[in-house]
Amino acid sequence: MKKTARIIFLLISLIASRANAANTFSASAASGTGAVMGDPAVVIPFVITNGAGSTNDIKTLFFNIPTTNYNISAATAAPTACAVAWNVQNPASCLLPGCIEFQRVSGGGLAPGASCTFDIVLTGVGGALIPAASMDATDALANTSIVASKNATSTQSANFTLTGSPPSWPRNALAATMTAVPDSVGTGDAISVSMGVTNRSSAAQSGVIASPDPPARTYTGGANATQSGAAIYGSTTATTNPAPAALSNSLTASMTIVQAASTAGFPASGRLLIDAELVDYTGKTATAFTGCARAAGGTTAAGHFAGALIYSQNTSSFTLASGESSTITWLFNAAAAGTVYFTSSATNVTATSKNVNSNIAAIGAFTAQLSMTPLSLVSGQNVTVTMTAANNGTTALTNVTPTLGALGTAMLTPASGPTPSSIADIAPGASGAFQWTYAVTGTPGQTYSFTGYAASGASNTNTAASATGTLVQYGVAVSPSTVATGAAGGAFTWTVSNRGGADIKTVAITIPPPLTSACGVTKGWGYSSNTPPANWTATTTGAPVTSVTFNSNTPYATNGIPVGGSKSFTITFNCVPAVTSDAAYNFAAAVTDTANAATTINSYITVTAYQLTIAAYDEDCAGVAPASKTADGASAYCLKASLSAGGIPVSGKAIDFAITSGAGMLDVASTVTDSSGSAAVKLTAPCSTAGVNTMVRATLSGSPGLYGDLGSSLVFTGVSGGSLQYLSGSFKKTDGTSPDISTGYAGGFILNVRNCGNGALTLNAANTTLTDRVGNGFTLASGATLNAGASAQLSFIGAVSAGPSNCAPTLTADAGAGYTGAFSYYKSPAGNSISASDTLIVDSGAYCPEVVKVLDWRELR
Amino acid sequence: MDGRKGMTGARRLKAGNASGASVIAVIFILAVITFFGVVFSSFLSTGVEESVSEAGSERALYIAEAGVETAIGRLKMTPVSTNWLWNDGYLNKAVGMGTVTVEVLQHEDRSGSLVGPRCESFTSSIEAAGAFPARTVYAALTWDPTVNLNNLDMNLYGDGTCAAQITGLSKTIIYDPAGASRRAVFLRYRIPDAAPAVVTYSAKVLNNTAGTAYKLGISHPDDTAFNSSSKRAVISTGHVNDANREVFAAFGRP
Repeated sequence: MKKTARIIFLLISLIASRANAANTFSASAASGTGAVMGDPAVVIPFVITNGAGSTNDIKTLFFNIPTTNYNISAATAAPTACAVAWNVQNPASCLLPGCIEFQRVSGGGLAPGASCTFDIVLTGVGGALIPAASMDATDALANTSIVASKNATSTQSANFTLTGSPPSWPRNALAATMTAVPDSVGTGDAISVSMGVTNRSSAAQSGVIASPDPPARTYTGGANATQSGAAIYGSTTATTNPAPAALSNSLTASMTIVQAASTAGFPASGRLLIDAELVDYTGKTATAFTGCARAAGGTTAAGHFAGALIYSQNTSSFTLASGESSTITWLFNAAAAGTVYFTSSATNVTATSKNVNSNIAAIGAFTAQLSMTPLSLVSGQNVTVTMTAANNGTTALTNVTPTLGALGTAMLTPASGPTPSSIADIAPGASGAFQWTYAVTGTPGQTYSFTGYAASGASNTNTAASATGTLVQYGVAVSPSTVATGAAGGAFTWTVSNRGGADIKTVAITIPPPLTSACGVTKGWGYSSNTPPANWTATTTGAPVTSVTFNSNTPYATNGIPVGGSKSFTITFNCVPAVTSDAAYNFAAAVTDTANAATTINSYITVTAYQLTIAAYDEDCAGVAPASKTADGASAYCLKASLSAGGIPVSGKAIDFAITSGAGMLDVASTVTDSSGSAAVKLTAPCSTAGVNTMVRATLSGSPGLYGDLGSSLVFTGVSGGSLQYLSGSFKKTDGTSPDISTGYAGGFILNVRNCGNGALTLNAANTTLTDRVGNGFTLASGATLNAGASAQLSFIGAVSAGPSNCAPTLTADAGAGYTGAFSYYKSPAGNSISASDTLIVDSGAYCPEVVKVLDWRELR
Repeated sequence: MDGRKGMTGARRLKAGNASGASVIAVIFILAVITFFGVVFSSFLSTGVEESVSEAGSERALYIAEAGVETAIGRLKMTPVSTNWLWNDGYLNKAVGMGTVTVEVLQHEDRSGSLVGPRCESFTSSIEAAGAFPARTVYAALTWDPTVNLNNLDMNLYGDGTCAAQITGLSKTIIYDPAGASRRAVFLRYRIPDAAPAVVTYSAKVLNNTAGTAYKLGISHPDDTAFNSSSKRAVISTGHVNDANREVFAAFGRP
């Protein structure tokens, strides 16, 4: 009997032992995962796999993160892409910042053999930055750090055994970002790839280089980019490398003296890189490189415009002090059409950065880029898609039309666009933008993205692709989402949308480090005030303030955020952080509904290293802007926006211009910065008999928070008398068709003009003529009197006997004392600009030669 | 008998005297004719030489004007945004029966009406490349003497503040034909070949005591900010044998 009982006990023990031994799981940090010292946070995707031989599902997981280096952020959310739904528990036995518990929502859990990825958001201790060490470090969990249970419980009962090594991940000492500009180039043009490197470790790092050098290139569509010269290393406190200098005078292909704004820091002799050409020099003055041998290193001698950057090829790897940043730059020649992005990292063996990718650059005479905002929204909201078509060729592109396709698992319903439906004319070097809005519907986790191209006749752009957006249960969008480095603060508004199952009663927004309450030399997020919605209150935590919690007054059904609704919450800052490269700060928004279910949604504000200013000049873009101009519809100011990053001009970026008050006409709404980081537009006066004060804002395209305003309004004084304007696009044959004719044509032409003044203008055959650029003259068929503000169509008759040509004709009029001056159609003002349809084409002649006006001519004796 | 003889002798004598006078007259006439022939021949020879020289000079002027047109054509080639920066010039470029040398400059309109003296500073980059690199500063100060009654004057300085006057230069003053009052001053200066990479000069307008309008155009080698919106000037010299004529032209893109 005793023996039998012993056997039964052993059998039960064996069975129990086998059952427990069978429940195993493995855990690892996803490949490529890693933290970077000094980052505000890191997301570690832990892949949890229930052992294939397990006999139970995993229904509860506890992550116990050692708080020596990290805290678990409240932004950590339950996984949404796994076979079963999970939520976050907040039991007393497992609380932030050291522990977080995930429980399956209902039914079974993570089945044997199945995997699920849990994204754990980690910050430094106490919400500080990820801690620094003297070199790269590796962080690892203990065997007991992750506790898996077969029960839905808040007790950390380890029913599963961890097999294999516990998860570990690197903590990089160097941070890197990479940018390729411009993001749209023609074949043969240069692409500048710049990697910003910051030493986030606690010790100096010497001999920092790029790996690979040059960056790896990933192509689509047959693209090719070849490197020009060698890597150009920036200067640091301990390493003196010459900063690039601007070419002070345009350089022809044969010149042997290269004039620079300054040659300071360049060696006495060496090699220069200008655009894609290498130049060897044997001497230098303060402002010139002398004894230049052009086309060095197998490159080709070429002309270079003033303002082009001159890089020294005699640079070396640099030493970065703790916290110090510098850049490594490469120039590539866009050799073949397609798209390309670049990949590299920074390293000195013991301190490394992650591999970083640049943005995608499109190469070709005719390219397209797609952007989309926002990248996460709730079902029913709209996404805005922008396609930028660029003409990098040498001839104008006409009738440019876009094509857009929707991708993803969410339902996309067109709401508007494309706007415009087509662009009549994109000049060489210019670009045009099309915009669509789509309503996105579906369930949380579903995705949306777009692909598209533009066409002009038989020419198509590359097929561009947008980023991929995701539908979420609660939408949190912050505006503006981009702000310039060290900006003087401002108001940021978070719009929270509810597509969950209950009303939202609380929204808590966490302010990430660096924090400050002083906004002095050291910049950070300097909280100032908050503005809750009506019937909500707000409380703050910490000094400096680390979070703002907005609470709805009761009843929540009336005052909270209802299902399907949204409300806006504003926090105002006195200053924002100063950065040397773009940095995204996560303002995690914790949303709590009336069922006390809490969800945290990340919202990011990017502080960009870019700085944007705008200034006014006279119409020639060189002279000082006059104190005022006449509001005659023709006078114009030139407005120049200057974009820089860390004091270095940034080329190839689209700058949007908009009139924020007053009136006037901008010749283009958007233009791209040149090699000096400058983008210019013309603001043409409005027609007004009263004075007009106009304010213009320049904005980095796609970054509404990065803008510059004029220091003061531009003044237009009221016009007196008559002032004639040509109405763009109205020049036609008499039958209303395009003015494309053959020699001998005598059918006449029509065009529309407007009197932009306060006095009447009388036009007749004696005072108004139309001539083309090769000598054909046309007579005004019938006179017209234009009262102030009135428009009229003028008809001209005459034969075209000379040709061929392809020029804008010249309309001259002198309507007497009330008329403000001779009018030239050819010189019609910006905003009234002549498009391709305004050109008189005779026998398909070559484009009109440039006109030169002789100012002085005399014989010298 | 003696009388006859005497008469005969006298007649003979008379006859002999008459014959000698004729010879003398003939010789005299021949001498006169020869003299005038030589003189006319001399006159005729001089006229031919002058005609040849004048034709060469006219041709040189036409060639100089052709040089201006050629340079303008070169500058406004497509794309003008880059070709407008061309400043290589031409050196003894063959044109017709002669050659032309063209210097390409930047032109600046510094017209004004301020009460003088007025100092206008300008900067030039000295380039070595090109067929005929720019080295000339040419300043033309003109005014309407019926409107501006001042006898304006102008000097050139080797700095940007009108401090160090340059004296070794060509200065031409045009006077009003009706009197002694001035109506234009032209300065022309050749920048030394050994000049530094960038030089700064200044021109000072003097005597505009009434503050009346004047025109001042300054042409010089391109400054560092020269771009496709800047104005151009050329000095074109036509050469035909030993005849040389020069034309100055300033022009811009409207």
